[in-house]
Amino acid sequence: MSLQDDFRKHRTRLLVISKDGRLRNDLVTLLTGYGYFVDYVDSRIGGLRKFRETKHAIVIIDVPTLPREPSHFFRSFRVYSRNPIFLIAAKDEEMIKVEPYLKKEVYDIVNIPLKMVYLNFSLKRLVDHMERMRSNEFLKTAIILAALATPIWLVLMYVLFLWWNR
Amino acid sequence: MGTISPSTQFLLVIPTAAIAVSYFLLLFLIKSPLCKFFCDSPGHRKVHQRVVPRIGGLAVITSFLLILWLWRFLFPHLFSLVDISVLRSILFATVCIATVGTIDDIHLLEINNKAKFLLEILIAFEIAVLYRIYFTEIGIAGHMFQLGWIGIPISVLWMVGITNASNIIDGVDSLASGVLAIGFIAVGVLAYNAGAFGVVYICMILVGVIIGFMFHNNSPARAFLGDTGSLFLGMILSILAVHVTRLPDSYSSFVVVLLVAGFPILDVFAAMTRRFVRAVRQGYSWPKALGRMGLPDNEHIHHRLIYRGMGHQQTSFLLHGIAATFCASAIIVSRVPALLGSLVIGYLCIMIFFILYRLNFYDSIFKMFRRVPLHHGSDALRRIKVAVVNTDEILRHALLSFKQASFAFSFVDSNAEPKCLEDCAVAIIVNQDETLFVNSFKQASEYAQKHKCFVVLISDVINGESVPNETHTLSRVTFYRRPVYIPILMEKLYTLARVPKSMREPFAQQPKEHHRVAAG
Repeated sequence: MSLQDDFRKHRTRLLVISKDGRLRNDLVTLLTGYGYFVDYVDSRIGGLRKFRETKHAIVIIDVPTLPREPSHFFRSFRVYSRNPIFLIAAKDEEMIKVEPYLKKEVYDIVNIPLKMVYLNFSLKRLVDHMERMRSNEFLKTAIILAALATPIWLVLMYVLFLWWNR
Repeated sequence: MGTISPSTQFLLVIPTAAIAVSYFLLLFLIKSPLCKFFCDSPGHRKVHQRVVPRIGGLAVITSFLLILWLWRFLFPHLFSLVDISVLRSILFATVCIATVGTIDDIHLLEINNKAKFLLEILIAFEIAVLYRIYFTEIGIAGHMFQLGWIGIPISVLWMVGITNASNIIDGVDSLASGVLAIGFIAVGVLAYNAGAFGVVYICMILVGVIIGFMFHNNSPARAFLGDTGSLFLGMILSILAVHVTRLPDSYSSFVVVLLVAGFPILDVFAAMTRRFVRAVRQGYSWPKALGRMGLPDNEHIHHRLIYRGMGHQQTSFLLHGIAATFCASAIIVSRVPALLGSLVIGYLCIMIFFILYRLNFYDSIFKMFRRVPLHHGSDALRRIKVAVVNTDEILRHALLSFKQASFAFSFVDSNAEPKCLEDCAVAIIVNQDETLFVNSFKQASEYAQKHKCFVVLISDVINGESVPNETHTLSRVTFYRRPVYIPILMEKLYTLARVPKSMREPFAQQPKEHHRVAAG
């Protein structure tokens, strides 16, 4: 896949919210290397402001930056865009704390230290999934209509043929 | 009140019995300890998320045999309508496939794929030769061509192909069973037109058995068909389809039965074409690319629909609709003149083209013609050499992932002064420790003077105060503050290497506010 194709495919905007400068730098370097557009901020309020301007598709936030009650925080993002996908960057020892969020708003966990190949793979899957979801409704309707209408047309031809031969 | 005719009695009793026997037998098997041996665990090529027993095939085969016996016991005169060679071939195929499939479905045992394929060929060959179930003629556009002995290999290919195609489409709950049930209905209609009522009854039994199984296979599935079931049903469908073309009063040609199994054939054909094209694009030679056509993947039509966000039921419903369309076309083509039949087939081809287009099947094919493949041997000489000194794993991975073929990166340690620096156009030095910035800067200056190359120094602490005075005198050293935006770094490299804009590999522009380069 050429670079242009990669960019066309991964035009998705990501937002990294982290107080940890090193993690932020690593994520930005890595994700831009994969061809994504990446914004980064070091605070929750800054993140919300940036999100309001750009409406990123994916938001990556680390555990120390999360508030005590993350549900409200995640909901405040949904005011501006209906379907942002949240990923939480967490270390192994923070997993227990993060796991309950997976059942609610958070889609997946980004492991720290970063597992690069896995991160790339899961982001690609996410992006593919999102792009397909966009045209899902149209496609679903179109395919169902085509699938349902075709036999009717074919049977109609058959009946017309019988009538014609009679 | 008049007496009910035997055929009506059959219609009332046997299909109902088939549904009931299949349903209750599978229910019993699911609850029995036997199903522990048939567990199918989730995996990267699977779309289910929990362990489900692959015991449906065993239930389908057992029910089918039980109902055959019941049929023979209750309606012997109707049973005698079945062509004996067809019945024998079906029983032979059932026993063989049940043995092979059951061994393969038991998760403790495994049969090599090649061995399984070979066994299928042997079974198909024996059916063609011993029971004389093979294509004798092929009708194309109204003209019939006698095949003679060539019909045997074609029939073997047909049987093995349909058997495996049925197995391949068994990827979503109730998909394969539904598609095969539709296929049996179509074969039943074709046989009815030809007056072969024995085949019609067999098809009815099979449809009944499949319906009974589908109660347990509907999403979320409690049991899978497994290799046993899909191979068995595929093989029987192919046998009956061949038989239907050979009937004396049959209007069914090879094209008609091809349409009956149209959906499985389409899926396999599309998958094989895609794998071949992908292998060619990856640089494999044509013979090797042909060899890679059989490799399994998870990009079949049903997978693509699932990835689009559809559920199992939606996917199955749509694909059943497509399979039904194929079968309806088969019935129409068998009954209408060749010209009208060709029109129907033409319309079907347009529909297939549209479906595959919507599912992005042509992307890889178009790209094969659009892109000139990269020949590393010749292009490597023309690449711009960039030495990256003292890099971390993240930056290294990001640079390589960005895939700019114009640059040849070599990653070196800061202590060693490698030979590759001598002829590199640009060197990137990564300052890992803020306290050692001055050292890194000196190193950068040395490289710039010694090797006459441009140097990009990546660091965290660049600002007006911390940059030494020498910066202004050394125009070959450029500073870049973290975080590193790879597209911007690449642009910087292009600029430093004096690559004209027309020669650069294009990539999308990043927003300007991220540009944080402090030029030297």
